[in-house]
Amino acid sequence: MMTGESIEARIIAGLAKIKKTKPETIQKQASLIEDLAIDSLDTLDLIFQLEEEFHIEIPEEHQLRFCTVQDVITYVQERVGQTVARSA
Amino acid sequence: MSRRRVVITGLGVVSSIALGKEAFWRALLAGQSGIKRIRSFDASLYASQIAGEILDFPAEEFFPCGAISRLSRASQLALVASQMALEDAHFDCKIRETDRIGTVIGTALGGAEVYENQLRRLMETNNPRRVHPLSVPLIMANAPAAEIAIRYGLKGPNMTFSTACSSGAHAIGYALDLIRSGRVDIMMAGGTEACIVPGVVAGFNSLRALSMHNNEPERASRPFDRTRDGFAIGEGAGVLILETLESAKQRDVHIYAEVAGYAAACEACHIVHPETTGTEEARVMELALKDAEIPTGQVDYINTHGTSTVLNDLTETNAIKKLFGPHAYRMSLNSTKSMIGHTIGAAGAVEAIVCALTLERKVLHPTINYENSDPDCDLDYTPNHAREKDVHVALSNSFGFGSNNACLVMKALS
Repeated sequence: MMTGESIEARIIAGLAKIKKTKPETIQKQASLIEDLAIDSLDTLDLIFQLEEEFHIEIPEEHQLRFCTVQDVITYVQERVGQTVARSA
Repeated sequence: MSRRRVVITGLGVVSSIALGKEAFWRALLAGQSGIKRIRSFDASLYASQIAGEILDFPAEEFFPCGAISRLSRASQLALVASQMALEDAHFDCKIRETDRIGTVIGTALGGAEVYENQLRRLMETNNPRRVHPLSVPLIMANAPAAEIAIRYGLKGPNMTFSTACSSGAHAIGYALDLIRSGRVDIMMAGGTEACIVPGVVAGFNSLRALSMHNNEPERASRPFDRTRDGFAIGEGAGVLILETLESAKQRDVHIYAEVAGYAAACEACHIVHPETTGTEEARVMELALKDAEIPTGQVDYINTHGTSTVLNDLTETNAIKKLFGPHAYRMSLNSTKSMIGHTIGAAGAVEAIVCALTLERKVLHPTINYENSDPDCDLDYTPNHAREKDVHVALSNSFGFGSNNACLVMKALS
């Protein structure tokens, strides 16, 4: 089962890959647009990776909630939690 | 007004026998084959199971972490070759960011592996959402040229030629035309191909175009040999820096050779077969020599298209004899494809690099695996051993599917 920590590490690793940087340089409080300079293509790449990796589908309206790295982590933790709860 | 002269000042090559021009040249002179059994996928059910793959390509050395996933293999190979060419030409494009430098790359199949992988995902998942959002920008044929321009800030024309096996040669010819016209001063020109993927190899197999010497891969590509039975598919990239003679002199850089002429011509005949009398291939060579203002009798060497198919090698030999007459027997020929296989859209560019090095170093690489003479192919193909020759004028032939022919004329700078 996925722990909160492993979700966090995997999301940060994914963002690092998109930004061609090392995971330790990605701060949880960082703004996706202002600090990490995530552009629209990066966002599509991120959504794709999250859906693939965590077996979830992220509707477009939910994507508006992603301002910081922490927002993404929280969102995925909630969604993965729901999936686990449903399957329990 | 006299025409602007265009010279070659930088070379970058990535191939199955070596990375970089010096290692590449040494391997060519040694007659080393890069053809092996296919490793990138299970080809055990395929009629032809061999190819010139670039094994252990050190992509991580050239690209920062994560960048690889955003580049097709064709783009990766082109970027590495372009970096080598720029360094070789002592060029720092970032300093000269300008619209006077352009890029033109030839590729037949672009991001073929991305296309196949994403199609497989779609079929396996039956879910369109599982197709990666970057698929299209990775698959598109103009991605390699665009990636090069973006990396180095080259704001001049950015073009892609997709004319099958003559793509790389047309790219260089177009670069020559652009510089001559005065629209640009410098061009990064070349070709790239990375199409050793199941669907493409299967397609060439179905076309009966590939050699089936599976048990002796390194002996499979045997251009002009009587027992030739098809080409070995290869991957690779070649990029050249072309600039005006004036610019090269101003920058005080080494000049390999001059690109003296080019011709493009269509046989308008058949989608895959050449016109077998050689009339059309002779015509494109004649047009290129006219463009270069060089008489046929001055040509010392032809880097042939030399694919190792029955029809190509016979037709090309016929064409050379038709155009050059008795002089055909005095010239030297060779086939780079005997060692690296047919790199399709990259071939014309890689072979132009071979011509530049031949003109600079006055040595001909061999055509390997030439063991059985063919009475219909009776020219001097530089069989099996490298040879010194005082080469002043070289031709590079490229004949593509789609009746699409190209010829480049290069000469030593006098």
